[in-house]
Amino acid sequence: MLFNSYLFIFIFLPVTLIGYFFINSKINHTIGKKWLVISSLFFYSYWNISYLPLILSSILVNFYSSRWILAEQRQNRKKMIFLLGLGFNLFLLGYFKYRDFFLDNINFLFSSDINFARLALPLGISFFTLQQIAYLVDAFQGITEKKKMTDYSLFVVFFPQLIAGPIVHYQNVMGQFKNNENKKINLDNLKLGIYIFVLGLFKKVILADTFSGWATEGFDHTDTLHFFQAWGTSLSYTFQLYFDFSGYSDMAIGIGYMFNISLPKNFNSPLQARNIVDFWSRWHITLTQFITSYVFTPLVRSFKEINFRNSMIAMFIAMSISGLWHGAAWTFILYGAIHGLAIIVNHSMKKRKIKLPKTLAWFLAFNFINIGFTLFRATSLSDAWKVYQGMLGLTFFQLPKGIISNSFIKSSGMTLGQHMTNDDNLFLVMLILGFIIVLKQKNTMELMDKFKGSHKDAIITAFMFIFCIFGLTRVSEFIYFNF
Amino acid sequence: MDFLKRFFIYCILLFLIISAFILSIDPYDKYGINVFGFKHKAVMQSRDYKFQMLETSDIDYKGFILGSSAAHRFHTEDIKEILKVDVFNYSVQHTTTDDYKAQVNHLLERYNPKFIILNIDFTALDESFDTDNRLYNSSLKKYLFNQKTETHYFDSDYLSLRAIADSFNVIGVNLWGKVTHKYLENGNYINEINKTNRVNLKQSSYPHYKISKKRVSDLLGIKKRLTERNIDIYVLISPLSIEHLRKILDNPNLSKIHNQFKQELSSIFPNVWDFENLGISDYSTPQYFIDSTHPTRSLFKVISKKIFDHSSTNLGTRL
Repeated sequence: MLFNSYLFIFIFLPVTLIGYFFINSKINHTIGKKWLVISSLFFYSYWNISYLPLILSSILVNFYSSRWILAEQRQNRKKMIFLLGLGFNLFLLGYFKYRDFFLDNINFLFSSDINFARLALPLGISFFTLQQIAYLVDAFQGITEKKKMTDYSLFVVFFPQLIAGPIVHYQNVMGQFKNNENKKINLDNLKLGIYIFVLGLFKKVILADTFSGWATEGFDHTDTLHFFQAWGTSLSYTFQLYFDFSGYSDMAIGIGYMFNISLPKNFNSPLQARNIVDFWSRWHITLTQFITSYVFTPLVRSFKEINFRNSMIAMFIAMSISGLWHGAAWTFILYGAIHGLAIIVNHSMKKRKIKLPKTLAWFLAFNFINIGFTLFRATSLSDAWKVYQGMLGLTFFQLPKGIISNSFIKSSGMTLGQHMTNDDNLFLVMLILGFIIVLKQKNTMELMDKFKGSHKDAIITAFMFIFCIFGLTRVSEFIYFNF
Repeated sequence: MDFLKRFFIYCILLFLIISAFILSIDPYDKYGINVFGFKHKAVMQSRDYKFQMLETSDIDYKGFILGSSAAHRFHTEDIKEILKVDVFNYSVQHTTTDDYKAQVNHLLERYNPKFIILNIDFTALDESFDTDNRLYNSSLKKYLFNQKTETHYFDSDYLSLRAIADSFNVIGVNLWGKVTHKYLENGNYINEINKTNRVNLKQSSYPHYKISKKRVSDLLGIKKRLTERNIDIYVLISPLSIEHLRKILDNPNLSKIHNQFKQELSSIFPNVWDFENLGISDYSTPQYFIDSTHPTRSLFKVISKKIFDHSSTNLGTRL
């Protein structure tokens, strides 16, 4: 089920919310949590019920593995169970997400013809697997205790964060469910939750989906992109991705508040970053934390000596893995790898105390991010290269209509036409608006701190909400559902 | 007053105000509402407009083009040039077989045509693709005779951001603007060209596509009526750009339905021309397509020559 759908907004969310607090007050909190687990599984399987056994088996295996680890006293056996559990999770990811990619490459390398069924990626598999790997590691390190099945299941399937994060730790979320104050409806949290949810909905429905049209047009026609179109296409995708994913995270955080659960923030104005290290501390923050704790740190520790060089090697590997986590394609691996290289460059500059002027630093970082996202979006390396060729002016230029006289154009052999799309003016307005929002406006977390629930807040929230409701006729999926 | 109460009250008020605004303008003329008496809507009610053109015309049309907006740029002069007879383009937006039935009944009442060209879209037989309300608000409705009709009050085109924008456009055009999209003599459309350097994809997913038995039976009825009057029928499967067509063919389920759609047509009509095949790849450029589902006059010129002048082109095959 999509957050940006009538069914979710007007039926699923109110029924689940009212049901949860009603059960908490009239029956008991354990049943309330079970209600949330069942609702979340319904939310998950509404999309495709065939994924339900997969998530259930993943929960069961991880739950019992972690209990076994926690109960086991002998270190060797503990390690073995942990490795089996980890192997199970990696197998799930490998089979459902990377199998086709792997076989494709085998076929390419050895000119073989291994047949394989193109498997549909189970929704949210990357997120719920990652979250459970983190839990297994915590169990192995002894920093968590035995949990009840209901609590563990709720930690994995709590619907606001199930499909696309934020990636949470057990203690972050389940600790809040334990708090007695959080078992009753809290009107202040409900107001704040509605406000943040509407902000996220607005980002998705009005901003991301508008940019999506131009980005899709461009990436569907990489062969014919001229200079301005190529830039328009890549910038559209950068804005689309940011508004789409941060919009989803805002909605998740907003829904969390409605249930008195504070989910971790995931974005902090990432397009204002002045270098790539800064960018990753602002973009998909919970993934960065996961990669740092569970990939980078163990890698660094695995080296005999911890020094700058080894840390940077570990960073490069961790970022490449992060790229691969996003998707089973060379474009994603390359995306992770170039970000890894950029981080190494940033750290080296810092070590040598090289500092760039702020505006130049932002300009370079923004363009690097934009170029990286082009790779992220393109369906193949050659498609990405075609967009880059356009951006570098290696294809052709087409001047905007009316910029210069027709006769001059004809005599010089240049083409004249619609500049970017059929909606040139709207595109330019949206592009400027996009820059203003990402560079000059307060982000959701800052707006949240300012929120007072005043008359003005109510009007603005209602306006945004109603426009989104009118925009829901063009329901579209979130980009991160594909990862 | 509390934030929550205010929020809900403003939401209800805004929803009602915006909905009332859209409905009072009725930009696509779907409900026949015109509170402000605007002469031009965002989409012309072609079912009424073309109906009136035929009612008042003195020309003895011998050929008719039926179809959806995809057939709008099928210029009658290009056929007249080859066949030397007067032709009327009776294509209207968003059509299903109900439209064709009503149109055939209407034109047979006034004219004695020699031939009819039916440019049929892939969507036309899709059960989940509703018949347009505008048919039921138009003068053509009575030509459905006693058929039971079902008006869809909650049309997905309405209560949308696009409808808000188009309502403002309607006001702007009627008060200060120039009407750019209009019908010309013989039901022809303005010679619109694709000003960009690419053919943009229109909606190309058909998630609930199921071939409607009722519509197949409607087509059989149309064929029977026309055959009784010795009228030739040329059925053209409307061209889609190659990118659009590939989206259909790459989906195994849809590809099967697409094939079935062609088979249904060829089993009903003796003269079916398939332009929805890979032969379109040489023509999938802005010269030939406004967007992926709307061919330009240039493409229809090629099609006319193929059908009526037997020109040798790799575009289209006879099924």
